[in-house]
Amino acid sequence: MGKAKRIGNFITGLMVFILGVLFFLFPEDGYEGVTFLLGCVYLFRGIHSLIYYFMMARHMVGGRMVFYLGLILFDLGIFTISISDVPRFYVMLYLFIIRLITGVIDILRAMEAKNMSSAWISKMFHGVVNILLALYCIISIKDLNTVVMVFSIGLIYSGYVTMRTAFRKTAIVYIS
Amino acid sequence: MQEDFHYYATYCAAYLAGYDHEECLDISRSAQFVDFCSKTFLQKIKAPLSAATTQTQTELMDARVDPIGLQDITRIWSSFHFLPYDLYAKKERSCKAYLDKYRLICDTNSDLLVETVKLAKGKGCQAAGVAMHVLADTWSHRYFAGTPSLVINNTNYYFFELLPDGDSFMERKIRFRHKASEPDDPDKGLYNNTVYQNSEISIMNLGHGRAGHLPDYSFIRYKYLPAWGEYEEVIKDNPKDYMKAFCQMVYAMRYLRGAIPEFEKDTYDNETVAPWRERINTILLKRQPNAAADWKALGEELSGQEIAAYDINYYEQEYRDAHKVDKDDTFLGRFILAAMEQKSMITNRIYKSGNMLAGFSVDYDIKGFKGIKDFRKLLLNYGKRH
Repeated sequence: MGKAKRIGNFITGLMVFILGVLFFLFPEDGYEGVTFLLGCVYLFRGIHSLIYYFMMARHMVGGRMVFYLGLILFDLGIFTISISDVPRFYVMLYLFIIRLITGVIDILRAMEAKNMSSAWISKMFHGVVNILLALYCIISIKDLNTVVMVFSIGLIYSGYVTMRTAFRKTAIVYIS
Repeated sequence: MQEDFHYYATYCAAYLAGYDHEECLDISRSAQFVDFCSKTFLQKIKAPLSAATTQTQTELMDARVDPIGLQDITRIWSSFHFLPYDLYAKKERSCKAYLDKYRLICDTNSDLLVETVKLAKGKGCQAAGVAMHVLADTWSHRYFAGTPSLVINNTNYYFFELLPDGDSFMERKIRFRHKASEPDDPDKGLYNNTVYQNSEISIMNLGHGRAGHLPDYSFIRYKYLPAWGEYEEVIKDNPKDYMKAFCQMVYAMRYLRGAIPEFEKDTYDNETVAPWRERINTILLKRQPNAAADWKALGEELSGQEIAAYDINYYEQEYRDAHKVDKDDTFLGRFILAAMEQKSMITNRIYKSGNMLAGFSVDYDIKGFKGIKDFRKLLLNYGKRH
């Protein structure tokens, strides 16, 4: 990783981290922000798919599907941003699924490591926490603040990991 | 390829190349261990994680797909399982991002293969085993790349098995499913593959996942449209390719033993293999997902010795019990050094070609030691100290 990439990673991580903390501290003002962010994600993915098609996927057998998908996501992004109130149920469902999948994968990794007598407790802890967060999303489906707080915990963690990556040694040494 | 070829067939090839029984076992165990040396295993024996030569399924599911995570994946799979054929390949009207992936497509008889075999010369049975794994996989994994890439590794519905029918072949459409719990059924033409994911960097698009285990079966012949092939179909004749892989392994190991002065591309030791060619052909053509029993019988017939079943834990205790300074002289210690050298060399070649998919490579002779500290081990191996 070059210096510019490290600095970029650190700044991105820091911004995501701060955004997560702000959402967590002021959840009542954060709900609209969360739905706006989700819309931006669709929009970004749509644009990304279109760029991906023109740069790479046009060479691929069956690559035109990527082009159509890009158009659909782009449309969906604009639609999501333009509507003022996304039904809370869908946001909850989204958070629930993300946390559940992450939790199950972490637990599978922990079980595999345990079977090989390798370190597993930390992974298992991550898995259990993610599944508990998923369950909490379902239990608290009527609580508006929960959506924002669960979302912000994800942002804080993601920001922390991105910042940490900026300091990792990554070069492979070659000795001739 | 799988255990039948990497362990038992490698044993047979080593024996034909002139190694004795114990050396053959060390080489074949090393060749097979390349498919087991994951970070999870290395963590368990407290060995350097940079020596990982493979990733378990759950490690892959858990792998980060940011640039750093992708570089880690690419280093492992390109160095040991999908050796790139041409790091400077050209393709018209392609941007760099596409070319970087395109240039990692694996194929046989590359410059990197020659470097891989030469790197193992004089480094013992473990290095020979690692090199034989890499060599064998160039035959089975050709046309796929060791990096997650939809535009390179994807396949579609145009996938047919070619079944012998008199003097020609008849086509049978291959049906793919995604049930890991159910084994492949060659009789019905039912095979497992990874789920289609339209993300370029999805783990599902790593290597030959989209073609399932077909490249790993010696008996099968098939044709399909590789994603990168501009709608030109590829015909893969595994029995023929596996025979070439076997003959090239014998040739390479004769070079490693010192019986041949030079290792050259596209050269096969057909002469040494000739007395056994029919027998080997029969094994390769038998429609079975795992030919281990047949290769084992051949190996035992060749050497007159029993070949014990492969055991991943065979050398573990020796490594654990060794004093810190003696670990590099154990079987696993020597394997770890060989693996790190191979990874270091391939990463360097990819980096020098201007391709960042495998990450940075720092040349010690120019810039000194700047990088992952695990690689300090190589300094001692080369008689250099920091």
